Amino acid sequence: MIVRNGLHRLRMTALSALLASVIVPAAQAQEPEYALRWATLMEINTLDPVYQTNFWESVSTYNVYDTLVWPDAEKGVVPWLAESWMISEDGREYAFKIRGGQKFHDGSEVTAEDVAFSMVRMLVVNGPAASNFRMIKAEGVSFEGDTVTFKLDAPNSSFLKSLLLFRIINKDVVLANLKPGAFGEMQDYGTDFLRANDAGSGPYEVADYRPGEILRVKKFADYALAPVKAGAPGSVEFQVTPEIATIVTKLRAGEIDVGDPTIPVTVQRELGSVPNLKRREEPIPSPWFVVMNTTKAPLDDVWVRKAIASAYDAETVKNHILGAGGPLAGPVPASILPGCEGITTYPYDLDKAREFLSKSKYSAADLAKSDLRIAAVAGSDRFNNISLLLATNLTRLGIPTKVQPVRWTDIVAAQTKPETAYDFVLFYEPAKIPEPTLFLNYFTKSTWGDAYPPGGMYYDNPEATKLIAAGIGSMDTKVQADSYCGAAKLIAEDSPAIFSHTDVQHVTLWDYVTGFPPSNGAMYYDLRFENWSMDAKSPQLQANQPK
Amino acid sequence: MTSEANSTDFEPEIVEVRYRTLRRFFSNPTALFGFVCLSILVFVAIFAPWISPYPEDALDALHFDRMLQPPSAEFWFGTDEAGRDILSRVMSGAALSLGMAVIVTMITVTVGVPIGLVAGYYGGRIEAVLMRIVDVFSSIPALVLALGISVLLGPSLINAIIALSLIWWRVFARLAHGQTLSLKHEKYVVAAQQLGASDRHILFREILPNMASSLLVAASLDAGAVILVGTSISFLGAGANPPTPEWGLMVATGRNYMPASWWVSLFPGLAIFFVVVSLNMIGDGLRDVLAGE
Amino acid sequence: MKLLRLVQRIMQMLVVLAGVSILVFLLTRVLPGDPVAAALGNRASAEQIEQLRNQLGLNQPLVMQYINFVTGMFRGEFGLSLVERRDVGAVIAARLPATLELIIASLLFAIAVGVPLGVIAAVHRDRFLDGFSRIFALAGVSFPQFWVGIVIQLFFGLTLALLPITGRLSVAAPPNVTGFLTIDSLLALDFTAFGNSLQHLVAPTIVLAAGPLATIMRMVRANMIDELEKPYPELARALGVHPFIINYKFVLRNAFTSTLTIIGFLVPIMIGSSFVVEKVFGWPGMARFGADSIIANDFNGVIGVTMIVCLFVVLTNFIVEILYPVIDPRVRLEAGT
Repeated sequence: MIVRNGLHRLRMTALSALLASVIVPAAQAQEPEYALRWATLMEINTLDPVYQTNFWESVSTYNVYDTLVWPDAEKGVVPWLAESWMISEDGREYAFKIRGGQKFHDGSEVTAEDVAFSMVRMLVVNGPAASNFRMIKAEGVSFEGDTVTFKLDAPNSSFLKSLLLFRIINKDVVLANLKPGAFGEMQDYGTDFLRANDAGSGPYEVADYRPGEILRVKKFADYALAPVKAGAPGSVEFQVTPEIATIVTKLRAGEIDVGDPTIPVTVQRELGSVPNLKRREEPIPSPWFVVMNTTKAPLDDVWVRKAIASAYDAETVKNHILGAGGPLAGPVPASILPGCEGITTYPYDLDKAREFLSKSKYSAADLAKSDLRIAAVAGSDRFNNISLLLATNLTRLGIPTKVQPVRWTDIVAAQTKPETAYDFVLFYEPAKIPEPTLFLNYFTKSTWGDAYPPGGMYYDNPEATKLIAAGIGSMDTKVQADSYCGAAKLIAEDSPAIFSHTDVQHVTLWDYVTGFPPSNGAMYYDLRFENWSMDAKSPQLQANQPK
Repeated sequence: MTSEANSTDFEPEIVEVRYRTLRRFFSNPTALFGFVCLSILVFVAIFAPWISPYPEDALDALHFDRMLQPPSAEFWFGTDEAGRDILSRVMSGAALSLGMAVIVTMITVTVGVPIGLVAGYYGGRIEAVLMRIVDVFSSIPALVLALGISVLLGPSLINAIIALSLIWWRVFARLAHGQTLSLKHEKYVVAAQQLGASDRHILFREILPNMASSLLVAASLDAGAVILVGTSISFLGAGANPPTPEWGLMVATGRNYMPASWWVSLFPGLAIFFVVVSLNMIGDGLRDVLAGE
Repeated sequence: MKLLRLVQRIMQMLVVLAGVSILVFLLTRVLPGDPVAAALGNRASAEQIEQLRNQLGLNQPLVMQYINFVTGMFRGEFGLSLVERRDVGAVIAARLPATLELIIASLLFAIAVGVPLGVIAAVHRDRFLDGFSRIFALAGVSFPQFWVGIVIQLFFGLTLALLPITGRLSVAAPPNVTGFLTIDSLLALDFTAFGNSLQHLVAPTIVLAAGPLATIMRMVRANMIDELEKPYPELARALGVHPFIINYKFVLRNAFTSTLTIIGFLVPIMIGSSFVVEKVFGWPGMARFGADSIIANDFNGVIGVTMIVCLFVVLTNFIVEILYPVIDPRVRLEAGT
């Protein structure tokens, strides 16, 4: 490790590189490094960890910036940039001791001051990333020496795991690059600079960024927080490629090394027959829901909602439309809330559905008059086919329903009011951290009217809400698990949404790439490229690498 | 159809000219080929519900048990991602694409031509105002404006038709304007003016019939362009919605399954190609025939 | 007289630009749809949304918003893009050269191939070559471009492995001077980058040029036939001038003027097509940003891109009008009388 780093430094100047190659044959011993190339379906519009919203923006920032904690299958999180932490008796104060000797990409050291600055900036700028930190205000952030302290508004047991979503930026670099803006003496708080520039301490640093075309990050030579795997890519390239068909072509041609998870599973299965391509199939705890607007007739009747859930053919959705899918009982995926047995499920059964309907306060004639709408994101054939399947079954059941393709921006805006919120919205929720409240909160008043599909459910069960609050307020993992499980059961019984299934991620990649180490339930952590490797001995790798 | 001023006496000769034109049209191989292709397509469009093998697949039928099957004796064009028969959908889609082209062309000719006529005939301030409005609409590419309007109205086939109609009138307004400018000094127009004919008579009885042939050529060529722009709107996600068997949408959906399941996008793509080529061939042939007179 | 006409034309251009600005402004503000909530990612709070609405000036009266928009435009500012999170003016400045490079390359290609094909078709009128080129032309304008693009990628990029599949450049970029990679790489004498950027241009250029090429070809053919039927080629032939010279010198020059006029007609179509082509080829141009803006209801982006596109269309027509008499002596004579 140290030797490799030393050689890296040698390479920094052309002269020493020349000397090394002439005098020391060891230069040959240094393994050549390769570029790992991805095609991203979505644009990489910003590198600012506070503003990034889509999957690919996040993947890039998680490699450029580091976090205080790292996900762990058993403990939830383990120390990372934070060496250790203390939690106050009342569960409101978290004090993190920052690990010494860690460097930002400009060579300066990561300090508690940087961490405090990063948190305050996130909260004040109030970009998308701040949505995960509603439990703390900027005034609650302080630092002293090598310790930073976060004082929460109320005890919150999800805070530690939320820190997996909090990335540390370099205060000095930001302050040196302020532009006029709306944040008083902080001017624009560096948003213009950070959109296109690097102020991180992660294992990769930004080498080349051309918006709309390419982002290239290269290995950070002084990364000392964790060992970098032998054969880890020397650089990672994200090539913006907004067409799925084009991504497939590029993958087959060897212009990229890894495909996109959004390529339809049926297409990826076909790709499996191409020599030297392999397909990775990994169940992930991200659920698919069909949320219902529980304020609208007849969806305000629990029996109607149960009948609707029973008319949803999850098996066809999984096996045919999407090509894959895991089980889901209730609002929280089992891997995030393990050991919670006895949650009511609604297997596809139209007879059962009719039985539920007969218990509802609505007569068959009432139901026949309803004209329900399923909002499906416009332009996605998969969303449309799933919605169509549900609409067909509901209409057959005597509840006339139609599919309405809507732009995402319009769905989100409509959900903010009960009168405009759609009857049904099909949506997919990426499980960013293994935290049950991430999903349970959607079924409480606190998220009513949020600009997001579940914000349009307007559902609340006081008993479940009480249980969720008890879990959040307790530091005891047993109490947490029991309360969340109890809440999940109550919610499933009320059926305010169809809990369809969990995702199975498919990725097709060239066989010389070894990647996707365990993410321990936290998204993006399996896409930290210092833990990936590329097999230098593979002739395909040699052939595919750009000349 | 023809003006009253030169009617009756010359009737036989006009019939003779028409007949000759028609014969020349059909002896022009391009035009004939286009006409035959289009006739077949129109026939299919009208009778699709009765002659297509799986008429229910044109709508919202779902057969996930037979999805993405390659062309076979059972499904000549294969099946799509929801197991629907592509042949049936292509046949049903003919009515939509042709319908869209016809509706948009009819609306825009009806709106655009009078605007161009009035602007060209009266000149002056009326012309300046009308033609500046035409300029405004002409300076934004059709696809850009149609896409924008279609998205703002909410993605659907009807809205795509509205969007296309809102922008395409400018083509015919401009054409009619140019033609009027050159026709209004023709002897028979001046004669009619001196005989005290009303402006309305002159515009619609003297000038309009004489630009009919240019309009016909432009309309047939533009109908093809309308279909292609409509297709591109679907490709960008702002046109017809699934499961509508609209060709552009079918190509757009099918592209995600290329190249392994090439048939999903190839056949609707070929259908688009055939209808646009037919319209272009007719337009091209018409131009040759009419120019020859 | 001539100067007056010029001033008149410029006034007309300004009127058209003002008209477009009002049209697009109204379209984006008055029709339903609120993009702000979605721009903040998942689970935006009402407070976050309000903060952004204020930042965008959406809480001001419509007239004020329009005035702000127009005054901003003169400073080169088009307002914050919800998609790219920076001023739309900056986005366009960064992305416009890529679009222009592609459109100019396509136009040059269309002219370079379309004009000779048109001449050949006219000279061989109603024979095999004419028929062939006619079918070629009709096919060129009758295919959905995105579909052709994907097929070209499969064939040239994958099967033959001749061309890169997407992007503008896959080697180190030359220093940015004009933003046109082909020109910048030549200025830097970086022939690797020049060759590489040319390679990347080929496939999108072919797709984008197919339609205009066909149109130019048909136009040249039609005008050539008109010209060939006039007396002077006959006269030249009688005088023993080589037919090659007759075709290319006498006739083509006249036919070329008509090609020039349809460039004004082709440019808006090509800009429109580039909305599709840039998406298929991952071309980092302004048109793709425009398409994304429209789909995401990024109103400042929509207005900014539309205004710039409109400006280019209007300017092209203006330049064509100025060039016309320069190239065609007859027009000059007419103008003089």
